[in-house]
Amino acid sequence: MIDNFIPLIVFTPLIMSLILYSPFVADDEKIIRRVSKGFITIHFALTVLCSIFFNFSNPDFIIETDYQWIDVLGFNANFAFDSLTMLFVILTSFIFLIAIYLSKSMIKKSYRLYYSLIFILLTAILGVFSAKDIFLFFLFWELELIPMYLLIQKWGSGNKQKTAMKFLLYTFFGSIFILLGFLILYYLNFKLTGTLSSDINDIDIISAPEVLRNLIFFLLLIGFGVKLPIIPLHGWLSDVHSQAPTPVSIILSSILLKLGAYGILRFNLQMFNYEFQVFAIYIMLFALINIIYASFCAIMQKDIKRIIAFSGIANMGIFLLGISSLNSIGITGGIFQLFSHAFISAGLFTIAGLIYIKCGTKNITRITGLGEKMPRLMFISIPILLASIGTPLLCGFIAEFLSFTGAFLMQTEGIFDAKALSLTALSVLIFSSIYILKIFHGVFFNTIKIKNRKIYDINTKQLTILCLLTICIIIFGIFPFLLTDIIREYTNITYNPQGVF
Amino acid sequence: MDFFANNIFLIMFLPLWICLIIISGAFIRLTENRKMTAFLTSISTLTGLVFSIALFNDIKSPQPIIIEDSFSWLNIDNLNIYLGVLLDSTSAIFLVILMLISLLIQIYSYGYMKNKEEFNKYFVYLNFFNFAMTGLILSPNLIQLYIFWELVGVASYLLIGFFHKKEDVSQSAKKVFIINRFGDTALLAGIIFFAYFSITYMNQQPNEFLAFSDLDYFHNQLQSLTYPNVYNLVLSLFLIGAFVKSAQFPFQQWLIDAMKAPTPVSALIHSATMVCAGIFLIIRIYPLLSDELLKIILSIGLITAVLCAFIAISQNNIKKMLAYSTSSQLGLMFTAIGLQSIPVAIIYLVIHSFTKALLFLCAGNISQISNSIETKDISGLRKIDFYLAIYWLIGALSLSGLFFGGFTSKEMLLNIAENNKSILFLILLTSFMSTFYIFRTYFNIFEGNKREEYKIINEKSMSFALMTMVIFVIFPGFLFKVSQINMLCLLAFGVCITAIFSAYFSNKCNKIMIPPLLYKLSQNELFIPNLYNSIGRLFNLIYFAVNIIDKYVIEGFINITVKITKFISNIISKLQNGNIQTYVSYSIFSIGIILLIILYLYFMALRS
Amino acid sequence: MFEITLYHYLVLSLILFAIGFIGIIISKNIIKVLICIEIVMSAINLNFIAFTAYKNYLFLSGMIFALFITAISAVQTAIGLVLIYQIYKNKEKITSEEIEELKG
Repeated sequence: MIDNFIPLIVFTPLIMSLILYSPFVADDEKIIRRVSKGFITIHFALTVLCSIFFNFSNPDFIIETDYQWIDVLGFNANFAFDSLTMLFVILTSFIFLIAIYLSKSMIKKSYRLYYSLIFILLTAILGVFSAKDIFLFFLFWELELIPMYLLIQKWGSGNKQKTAMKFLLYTFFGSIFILLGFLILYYLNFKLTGTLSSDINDIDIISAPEVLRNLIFFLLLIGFGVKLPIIPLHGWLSDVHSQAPTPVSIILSSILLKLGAYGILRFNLQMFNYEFQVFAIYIMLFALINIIYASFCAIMQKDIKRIIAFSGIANMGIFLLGISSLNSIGITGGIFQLFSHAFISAGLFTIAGLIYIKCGTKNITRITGLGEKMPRLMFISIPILLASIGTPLLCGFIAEFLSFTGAFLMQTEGIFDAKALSLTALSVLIFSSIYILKIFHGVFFNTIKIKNRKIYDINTKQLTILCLLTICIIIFGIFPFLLTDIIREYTNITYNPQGVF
Repeated sequence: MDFFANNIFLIMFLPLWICLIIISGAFIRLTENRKMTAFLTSISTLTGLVFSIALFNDIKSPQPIIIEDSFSWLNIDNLNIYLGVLLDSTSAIFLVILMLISLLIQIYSYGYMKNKEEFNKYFVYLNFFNFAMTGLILSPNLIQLYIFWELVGVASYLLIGFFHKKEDVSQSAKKVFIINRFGDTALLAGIIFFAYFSITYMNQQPNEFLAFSDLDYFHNQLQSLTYPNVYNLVLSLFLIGAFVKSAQFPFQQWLIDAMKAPTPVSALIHSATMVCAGIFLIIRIYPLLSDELLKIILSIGLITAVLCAFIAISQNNIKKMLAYSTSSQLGLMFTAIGLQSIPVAIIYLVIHSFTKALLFLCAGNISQISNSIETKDISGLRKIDFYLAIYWLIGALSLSGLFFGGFTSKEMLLNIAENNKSILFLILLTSFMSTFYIFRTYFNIFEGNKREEYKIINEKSMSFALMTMVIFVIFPGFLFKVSQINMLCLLAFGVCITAIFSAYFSNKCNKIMIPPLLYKLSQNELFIPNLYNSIGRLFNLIYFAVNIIDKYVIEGFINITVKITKFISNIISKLQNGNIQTYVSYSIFSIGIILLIILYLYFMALRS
Repeated sequence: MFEITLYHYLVLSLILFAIGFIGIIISKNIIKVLICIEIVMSAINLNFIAFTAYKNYLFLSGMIFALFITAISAVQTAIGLVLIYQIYKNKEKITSEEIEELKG
C-alpha cells in the first residue's frame, strides 16, 4: 500500500501541469494561482504523510515501485525511496511550496505556462531523486533542462536569452559526460555479468580493470561537477542566478545544485567507493579551491544575486570537504550542509528578490538605506544572513563544524595533508562574513539614495514566507539531531558493498 | 537553596523568552508601550540577579556546591557534544557582575533611549545579549563556550550598528564584526584540534568531551602525545581568540570602532562584560597552560597596558579614551594571570567593571548635556551638574588606584609582581598614565568656564542608575582586607599623586609635556588603524585579482569556445550558398567518389 | 563499315548524360536547366532501350521503365515550367544566381 505513494508523489505534478491547460481551469490569473498553490500544499502534505509511514530508524528500509518498460535492454522504470531520497523529496516539495507562494509578487505574465513549467520541473527533480535505474536517472536529469530554459528565457531579467542558452548548453555539455559514463557502465556490466540490466542494484563491475573504473568515476565526477558546481566548471552559475526570476533562482540554488550533490553521493560515493577513497584527498583539494575562490569572487561583486550565487558555490565546497573526509562525522556534516544551505539560500534569494521588486535594481551601490523604509525586512533578514556565515544555534554552524571536524580527522599520507586543508578552509568563516555584511550594510544601512520611487515595506504574506524559512533554520540549528540521526544511519550503508539502494 | 540550583537554566532562558515576547509584540502590532518593554527586561534581569546572589552565597559557604548538569545534543560516533550548565566559583562571580551591571544599564537605557526611535529593538538586542552572555558563563565545555562566544559577538555587532542611518556607524560595525570573526576562527581551530585529540587518542566517558572539569586529565595526556612546540602552538590559538575578544594588542582596534554604539551599550558590553569573555576563557583553560604560554600572556598583557595607556593620553574623544583605558586595564588583568594569580585577576576584573561602567554612564550624561563627546567642546560642567563631577571623580580615583575599590585591586596586583623589577616598573608606568589621562579629562571637562547652552538632565532612571553604580564602586573596596601597607603601596600612591598634579598643570598650560614625536605617535594611535586599512587594501587587491581570473580566464575559456564554434560554423556555412546547382554537383561528386572506392575495392577483391 | 554494337549506344548515352549533367550544373538560365534535365532523361531512356534491343527482346521491365521515364519527364517538365513561371512573377529574373533563398 505504501508503495503507491511513489507514483502519487512523482507523477502528480506532471498531470497537474496538463490539467492547468485543460478547460477545467479557467484562464483567469486568480484561479490559476489558487489551483497551483492548493496543489503544491497537497503535494507537500503527501510527502510529509509518506515520511510518517517511512521507517527512518532502519537504514535498509526502502519503498519500491517497478514498472516494465524496455525489458529487452534491461531498462525498466524502477523507482525507490530510501532514507536519503525521502529527506530530499520532502525538502524539494517544501522549497517548491515556498517558490510557488512567492511567485505571486514576482511573476506578472503568462501564468498558465509558468505554473505548468514549474510542475514539470518538480516531476523531473523528484524523478531524479527516486530513480533506481541509471538510464531513468539520466532521462529525468535531462528532462529538467527544458523547463529551466523556458523559465529563464521568458520571465528573466537582463540578458535572458543569452543566459538561458548558456545554461542549457553548459549543463548539457556536462550531461554528455554522465551519459558516456553510464553507457560504459552498462556495457561493462553486460560484458562481465552477461545480462543486460541498467538497474543500480544489479550492476556489479568489481572485477573490471582499474583503468576503466577510474575512467567511469572521473566521467561521472565531471558530469556531476558541472551541476554542483566544482570550480572550474562553474561558469554558468552566476549569470543564471542573477538573471533568472526569483522563484526560479530559489529552486535552482536550493534544489538543482543538490542534484549534482545527490549524483556524487549515489554514484561516486556509494557505487565507486574504492575509487572515492583513493581520490578523496584530491577531491578535498578541489573543495578547498571551491571555498576560497568562490568567497574571493563573491566579495567583489556588485549584484546581490551574484554574491549569493558565489556563496552557494562556497557552501557546496563545504559539502565536498565533508564527504571527502571518509568518516561518518564528515559525511554527516556534508549531507547536513545540503539541507541547511537549501533553507539559507532560499531565504537569501527571497530577500534579494523582494529588494529587486521594490527598488527596481540589484546593484548594491545604488540601493542603500532601506532600513528606514523596510524595518521588517531588515529584522527578518538578520537571522538568515547570520545563518549563512555560520552563527551557532542556526543550522549553518552544525554543518560547517561537522564538516571541518570530519575533514580534520582524516588520516592521509602524501603531499596534501587533510589537516592543513581543513584549517585553511576555516577561513571561510571570515570571508563569508565579509561579503554577507557587504550585502547587509550595503542594502539596509546608511541613508536612502533612491528618490524617485515610493518604497513600501514587505507585506504580511512575504513576511510569513521568510518567517517560515527562519523557523526552519532555527529549528535545525537548535535540534540538529532531528536530521543528523537519519543521515548518520544512512552513512552506514554508503560502505555497503551489496548494493546502492 | 535547591530551588535555585535546580533551576539555573531559567536565568539563561528568561531573557530569550522576553526577547521573543517583545518581537512578537511588534509583529502583532501591539501599541508600543515602552515602559512595559523596559519593565519586562528589568524583571528578567532582576530574577537573574536574585538567582545569582543566592548561588553565590552557596558557593562561598564552607561546603561549596558545584553544579554540573548536561544533556546530549549531538551524537555522531565518537563526537558527543553536550550542552548544559557548570556553576563553580568563577562562574558565580561573573554571573553576579553580569546581572548587576546589566540591570543598572537597563534602567539607565530606559532614560537614555526614551526619545529615540526603535526603542523596542534596542531592548530585544539587550535581552539577546543577556541570554548569550549567561550561556557563555555557565558553559560546561569548550563547544558550548564557543557557541555562546559567537552569539555574544553577534549581539555586540547588532547593538553597535544600532543607529544604522549614519555612515561611519555602519563601517565601524562591519570592522568590529570581522575582527571578532578572526578571533572566533582561531578559537574554532583550537577547538577542532582538541576534538581531534580527544576522539583519536583518548577514551573518554561521553559527557566529558572537552569538558572543563576534565582538563587535568586532558593536560597529562596531551603533554605525553605531542611535542612541546606543537602543544604551545595549538594552545596559542586559544590565546589569540582570547586576545581578540579582550581587545589586546594588536587586536585592540575593534574596541575603538565599537565606540560608535550608544553609550549604555558601551558601558555594558565593551567595558564590563563582553570583553571579560577573553579573561573568562583563559581562566577556564588555565590548567592547560604551560610556562611559555603564561609568559606570552604576561608580555602581551603588559605591552597592551603600556601602549594603550600611552595612546589614551592624547585622545580628545572621551569614549575613545575610555576604550583605550579599558584595553589597558584588561592588559593588567592578563598580567595578573600571567603571574599565576587568578584571584587577583578576578578581583581586579570585578572592580574595574563597576568603575568603567560608572565612567561610561557619566560619559553618557555628559554627551546628553553637551551634545558632543570631544573634550575641546565641553567645559565647566561642574558648575552645572555638581553630582556628575563627584561621580566622575569617584570613578577616576578608583580607576587610578588611589581610593575605593581600585586601591585594593591595584595593591594586590603590585604585591604579586613584587619580585620582578621590570614588571613593577611597567605597572607603575601604566598607573601613572592612567591617572594622568583620566584626571586630565576631568580638568578639561569639569573645570573652566560654564557654557550657557548647557542644561542639567532630570531623568530619574539615569540618576538612579548612576547613584547605584557609585555605591558599587565605593563599597567593594572595603570587603577585601588590605594585607599591609608597605613601600610599594606608598610608591604607587606617590606616583598617582604626581600624575594628578601633572594633569592639573597640563590643563592649566593647555598642552602636554612630552616630546612632540611621542605626542604625534599617541595622537595617531600608533598608526594601527592605518595598518588595518592597508591590510584591508592588500586583501582587496587579492580579491580583485581572483575576480579578473574568474572573468577573463574561466569566462574567457567559454567565450573562446563560443568563438571557435562560430568561426568554424561560418566557414562551413559558406558551403551552403543557396544555389541548387552547387548542391547537385556536390552530390554527384560524392557519388562519384563512392563509386570509385567501390570499384577499387571490387578489383582488389577480384585480384586476391 | 563497322557494325554498331551495344557499346556505341552506351557511349552515346553516356555522352548525352554528361552533356546534360554539365548543362545542369553550368547553366545560368533555369529554362536551360530544365532542357538539360530533359537531355539527361533521354540519355537514360536510350540506355534502357539499347539494352533491350541488343540483349533480350523480352526484357520487359526495361521497356516499361523507359515508358515510365518518358511519362514522368513530361509531367516533371510541366510542373517545372509552372514553378519557373511563379519565380518569374516574383522576381522578374530567372537566373540561378538570383535564386538563393536557401543561403546560409
